[in-house]
Amino acid sequence: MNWQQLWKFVLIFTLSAYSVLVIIVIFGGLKNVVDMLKDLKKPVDSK
Amino acid sequence: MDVFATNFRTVDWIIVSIYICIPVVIGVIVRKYVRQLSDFIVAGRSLKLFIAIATLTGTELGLVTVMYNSELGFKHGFSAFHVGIIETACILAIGLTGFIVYKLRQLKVMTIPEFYEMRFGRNVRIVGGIILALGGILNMGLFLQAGARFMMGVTGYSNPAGLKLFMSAMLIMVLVYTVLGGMVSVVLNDFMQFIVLSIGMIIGSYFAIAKIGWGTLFKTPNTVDSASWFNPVAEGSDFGMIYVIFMVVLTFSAGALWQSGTLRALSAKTPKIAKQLYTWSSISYLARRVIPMLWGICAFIFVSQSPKLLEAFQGPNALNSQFGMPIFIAKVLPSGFLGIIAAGMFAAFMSTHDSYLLSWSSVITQDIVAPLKKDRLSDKARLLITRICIVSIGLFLLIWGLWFEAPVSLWNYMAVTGTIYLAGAFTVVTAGLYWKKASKTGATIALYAGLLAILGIGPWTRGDNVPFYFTDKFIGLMTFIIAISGMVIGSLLFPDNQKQKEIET
Repeated sequence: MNWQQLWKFVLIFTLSAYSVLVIIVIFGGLKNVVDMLKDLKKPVDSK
Repeated sequence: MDVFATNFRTVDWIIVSIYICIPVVIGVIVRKYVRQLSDFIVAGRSLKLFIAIATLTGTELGLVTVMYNSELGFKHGFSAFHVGIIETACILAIGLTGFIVYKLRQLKVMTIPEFYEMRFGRNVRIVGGIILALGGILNMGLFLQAGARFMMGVTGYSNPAGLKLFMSAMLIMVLVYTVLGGMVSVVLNDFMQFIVLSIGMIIGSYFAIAKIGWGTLFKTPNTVDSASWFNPVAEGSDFGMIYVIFMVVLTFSAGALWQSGTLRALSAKTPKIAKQLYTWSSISYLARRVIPMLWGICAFIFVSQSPKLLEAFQGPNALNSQFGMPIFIAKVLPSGFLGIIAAGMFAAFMSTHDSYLLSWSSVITQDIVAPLKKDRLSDKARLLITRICIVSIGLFLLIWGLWFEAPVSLWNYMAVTGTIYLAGAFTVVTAGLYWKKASKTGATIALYAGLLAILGIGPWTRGDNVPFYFTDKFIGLMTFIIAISGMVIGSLLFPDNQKQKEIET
């Protein structure tokens, strides 16, 4: 594999893998945000 | 073709204006969630995996990241990709092994110097805190400047006063929102920014490649050397083997111990999540390098196809190479989408700034002021000092960004200033966690050795025929070697007193 082919592969891999990661994180992250805000509110409620 | 011609229209200004208000509103709304310092600094250690990935990416994918990586692509072509590959491999290795981050999260420290005190005593913490703050603040010294250059390039604002104007306005927005919200608002803003910027970057890459053409993209432009455009260790390449080795050491240590990134690991809900965070984020780290570099490469090919544009970037009055990518996307992306990209980049700018401001100011509060006051500071006083530090650092950024220019490239400046802290920190934390014989004296020598990296931003590093021992890459690499040697020799020659050690533990 020469340098050109290597960078071509890296570029295609990056764009594809990152697209998949973004979709996963958007859906997973929304749920996490709600949970985080609930967690931060808890101590005050219990007091 | 006019150099500053742009597709940025009124509709784009409207998009940017609406978008930049959102983080400030978030800052105000989430203020009620900030009651104690741990809420402000590590979001109450409540981050779960996906939000942690988004926020780590949000921090590490700032406008400045896009600027320095696109500049590397613009100047060095595909050979710059090696930095991304090395960094990704290092982050993945940290994620899979949990090296440093797992143990640090277990210890529940909020800052790295807190660990120095646990292991080596208060004096080492104060020294480490001062060097960390110095290196960190210098490191972000050119953020404002790079951000303003991006906005100028994209909006086509070529007035010489533009830099001052953009820098001042951008700084005010960042300060208002960071001082108000702390880490909780940072986390939420990071998440929003992650969504907009990530999608924008993927679609933007499509436009960039479509403009240049997939076939042309992998051909060497006539104006550059074919071998060094692709091969980082080719003869005549500005990188070379010393640079590659420096990148391995630097990105590995930065991955494990760069305060803003590590802060995310320390904010993770459990040590296991801290580890997973790194494994997953290795893809983000690859993207944050490769995608902006791609834009920079496309920008250079685009510029080299137009004699007028090429002329603007050559000669004694050449435009700074950081302008290459913004000037390119201003001409290639359609109006409307350009506004979204600019807004996303501006949000990225806010996100990185707030996180870094928070990191360095919390280090000053927690690791310098509080230990000097023998920890007799209330949470309220610490919050106040942290906020004063945020504003003071902001003012420094404005002044520094107005008169200092990176001698070689923006990334090299970042790498060398980062080394001021990282050379010592990496050595001290690694030895502190994994080597029983590591002593206070060794730690102190290693931390002070990091200061040698300041030599790497001197004017002697600028130019074409710099002797290798004056280059920033050599100075950076030597700083790491001297710090590690200092730790080993100092610890073996001056071991800690056993009685003293027992008292401290």
